[in-house]
Amino acid sequence: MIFTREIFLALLCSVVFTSGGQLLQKQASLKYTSIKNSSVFRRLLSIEFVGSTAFLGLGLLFWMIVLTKVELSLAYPLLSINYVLILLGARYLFKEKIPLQRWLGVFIILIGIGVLLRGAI
Amino acid sequence: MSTSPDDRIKPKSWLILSVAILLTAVGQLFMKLSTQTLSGWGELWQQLTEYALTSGNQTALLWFSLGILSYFVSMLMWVYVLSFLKLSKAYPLFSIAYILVYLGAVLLPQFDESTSLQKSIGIAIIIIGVVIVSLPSPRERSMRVDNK
Repeated sequence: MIFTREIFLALLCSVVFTSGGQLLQKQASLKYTSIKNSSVFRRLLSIEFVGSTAFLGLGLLFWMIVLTKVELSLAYPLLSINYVLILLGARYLFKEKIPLQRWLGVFIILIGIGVLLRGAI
Repeated sequence: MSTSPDDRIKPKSWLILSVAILLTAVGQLFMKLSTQTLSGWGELWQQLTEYALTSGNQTALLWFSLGILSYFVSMLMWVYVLSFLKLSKAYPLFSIAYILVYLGAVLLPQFDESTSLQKSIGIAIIIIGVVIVSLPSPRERSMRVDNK
């Protein structure tokens, strides 16, 4: 058993904050295209951009906690949970149409994660 | 658009892509290295507030800074890569980082990690999944043909 409850929670927080940060980046870029002539300074100060940076920072902090306990060769591929969370965010927050192929890819990623976690939880 | 950006990838662009992938992996290895000399989060925080870092924690902070730097630079390069390479090609290529991190962690003597069939199969399945996620769906492919 490598993953204690705390480490598993840290991993979850890491991927949730990282993908949350990436979804906020998307939100920021959508805002930039709708507002014309906004200065770079204004863009960098937008709540979406500041929020995304803060989220990515928090994700990194939780990631460091994971790394103190779990070997890198096992932990790093687990970050691919991000693909799953981003796809869900694209579907339910941004209402994007997701082709079946992408759900299949994410399902296969989940199988890979399952293989890695087998015996580690 | 008469030509898609992918039709003219210069050798320089491939170099940038390679460095971006390499830096992603190197950044992770640096971060892992930093946790190995770190004595503990609470201790690190206490020593930081007292301006009295032990040499182990100094080394940890150095590796961590290098890790963050690699992470940051690789992210900037990644954004640049996307200006000339479609996401559907860039993402599968980026999963090379999974292989590099795996190789680095098990081959470099600094890390006491070992290969296992379970890890190899898990990583291989994840890479297959990433490729399937990234490749354009049949509908997107036909839309691209219509645009030409």
